[in-house]
Amino acid sequence: MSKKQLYIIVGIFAIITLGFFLASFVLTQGNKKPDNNQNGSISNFFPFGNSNNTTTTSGGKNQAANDPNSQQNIATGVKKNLPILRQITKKAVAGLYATQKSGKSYVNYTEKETGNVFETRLEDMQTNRLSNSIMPRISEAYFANQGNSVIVRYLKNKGDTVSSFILDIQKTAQQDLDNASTSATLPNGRFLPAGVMNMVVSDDEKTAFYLTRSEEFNNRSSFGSVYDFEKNTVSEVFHSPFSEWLPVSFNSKNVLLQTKASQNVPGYLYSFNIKTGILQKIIGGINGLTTLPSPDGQHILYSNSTKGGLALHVLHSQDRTTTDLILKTLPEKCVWKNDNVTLYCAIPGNIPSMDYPDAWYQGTVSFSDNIWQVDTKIGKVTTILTSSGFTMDPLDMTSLTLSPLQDYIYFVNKNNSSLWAFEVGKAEI
Amino acid sequence: MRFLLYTDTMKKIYISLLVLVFFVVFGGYAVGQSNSLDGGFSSLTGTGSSKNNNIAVNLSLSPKYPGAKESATVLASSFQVDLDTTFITWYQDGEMKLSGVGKKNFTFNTGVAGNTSVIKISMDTTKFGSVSKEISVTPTDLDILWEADTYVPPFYKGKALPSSQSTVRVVPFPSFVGSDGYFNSKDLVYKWKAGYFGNPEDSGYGKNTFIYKTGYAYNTDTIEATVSTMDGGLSVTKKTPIYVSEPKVVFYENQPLGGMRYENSLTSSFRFTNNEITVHAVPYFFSLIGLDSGAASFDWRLDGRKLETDPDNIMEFTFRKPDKGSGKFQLGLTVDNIGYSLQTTSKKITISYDNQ
Repeated sequence: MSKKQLYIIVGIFAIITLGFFLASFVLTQGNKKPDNNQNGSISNFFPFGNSNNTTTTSGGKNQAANDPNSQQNIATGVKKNLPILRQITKKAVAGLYATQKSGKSYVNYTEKETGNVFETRLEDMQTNRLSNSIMPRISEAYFANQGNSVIVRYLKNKGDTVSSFILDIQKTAQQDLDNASTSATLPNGRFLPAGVMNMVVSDDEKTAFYLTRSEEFNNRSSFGSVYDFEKNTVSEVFHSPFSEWLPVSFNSKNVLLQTKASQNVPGYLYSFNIKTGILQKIIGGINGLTTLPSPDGQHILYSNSTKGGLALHVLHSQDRTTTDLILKTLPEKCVWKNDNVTLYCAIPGNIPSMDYPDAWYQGTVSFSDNIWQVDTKIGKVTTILTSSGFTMDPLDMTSLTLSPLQDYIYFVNKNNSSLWAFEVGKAEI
Repeated sequence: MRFLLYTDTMKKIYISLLVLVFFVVFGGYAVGQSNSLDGGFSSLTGTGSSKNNNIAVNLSLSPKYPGAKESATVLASSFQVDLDTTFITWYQDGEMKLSGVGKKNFTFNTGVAGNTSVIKISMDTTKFGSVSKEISVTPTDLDILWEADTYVPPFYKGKALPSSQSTVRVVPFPSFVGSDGYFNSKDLVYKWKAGYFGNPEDSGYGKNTFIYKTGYAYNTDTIEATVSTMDGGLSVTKKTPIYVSEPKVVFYENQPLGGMRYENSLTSSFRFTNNEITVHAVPYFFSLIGLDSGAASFDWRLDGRKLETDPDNIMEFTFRKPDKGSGKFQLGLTVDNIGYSLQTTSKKITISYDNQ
């Protein structure tokens, strides 16, 4: 075979190969549907009902496909065009924990009826069970230790004594979850002393500060203790002749202690230094005071009671100046962004004239909230979610939590304790 | 060449050191002279200093013990200098705040408790030249907290309020800072007053709680506390109003698995969603002694008919929906804390059902 012939054969072969690849490419493009998952597409504005499957992910062994608690309208393991406001659970949750894995947002939560712990990946709403230990009637759950420990709190028998059990999820997951869908297992963990009144987990999640009190009223004292999750040790660090404290934040050096609030009672917020034992006032003498410190502790969002209503302010600790906000809500319905400037707040559409915060704590009033973004430096406020555009359910939001990636705001609807997520990253501002 | 360079550098260093030594020695001497002049009028809360010891300038503070973040006034007086015709400059923590002829008073805001402000007056006198004086002001603070021995449910984040004739403990939180730091609240002297009447029995050294019985509902009790150091060097008086509330009953659903739904009370009219409902009554702000001892009565009624109460569980009742038809019934509860006049209240709700 001459060289010329060889070139011709190779050339023809190359043209055929190129043509084959070109045809494949054209055919593939022709079959491809428009991407319905794009930000801002009209499907995003319909809550819950969209079912255009784009990709399918594999289902995990412990995923909650058959679990009654799995999110409504969304089949597990199937990625969908998800609305920016999503109901994660129908059933009541006792507490939640925002986390991320490999750059994807997850939310963990404890179900009130069973005490089971679940995790939901927000990207596709896939839900996995992390613990199947049956512990019914859970009132509160605090996650700690990178989400590996949950302090579940419930009423003992028919009395008013609160039990606090530290559930070790990591051990549960390793040992027992293979049979999660068929049989419940005994919880791994240990109890805190009975009668823990209130508690807060430290910023680094390694410790928790909790309060107990002596029984006899006339000589009553309250005691603050720090529980170390890793060492499983307890050390008493605080002692006070006053007992109506509410710990609002804890950074392993300082605990911020707020007095329990009522409409006509001046409230106070103190910083307790664990090392020096000094209790120093941050703000006080404010009727109905409730507070929410920023992540760096330099700004305090606080509300005070007005006649039949509420007012909201930010105290800047360094220069002791205050910014009055035009929005009206309780700090319990807000969350700080990590920049220590931006707030996301659930703002009631209407606040009936009542005693606040008492009426809201007693559950004798319920709100229907929208989410607003607040720039605390310049006082600028912007609506970022009008919830009535997405759901008929009135959302009385509480336990607002921002995902570590700052792309989701999770909250609990106080009306039925269901868990929701709002994709703040896709909000139109 | 290198040696010469080294010598030049050394020469410069020697000269610099000599100049430095000169300034340190003479500067130190000057400061020492200035300090040695210090004395004269002693200030109330700190050390005073004057450039001219021969001139008596008196600085007084009003109020005598200013609280934290309060307005306080320093008044200057002197029998040697006619302050009305003298040019006076006031400084707060080194920053000039006020100046002018005859400016004898300076009003300023104190810092947080224990945070010392240094107030300095500087005068240009025709007779004595420049005269200055300082006063250190360390504000005290007193918060009066209180708690009532009344019932609120577990996990309740609000305050337990006092109702008629309930017991209240008042606890002061003084912030007194001395040379050794914060005073221990147990090392201070307390004087208590309820309304117009002093309570000498409850007052005294280390008596940092005051317990009393409230008056009747809708009244406001006023409790006054005066807290002082043993030597009386620091003292502060504050009053707190304590509003006496009315007790109330709120109904909640107690779910078999979900537990108590304290988050939402049952509204005055609601419908059966399941076959049965357990209604739990929370007697907010009733005195705990009466509730714990069983002295309180819970009178449950269904359409006016008395219901027999389980003595071990008087705070709740379970109702089952009738199997057929539709209708409604009225559930009523009267709670009476016997032994506490006016600690009584009633609540009614309507429960409806529909089997169609």
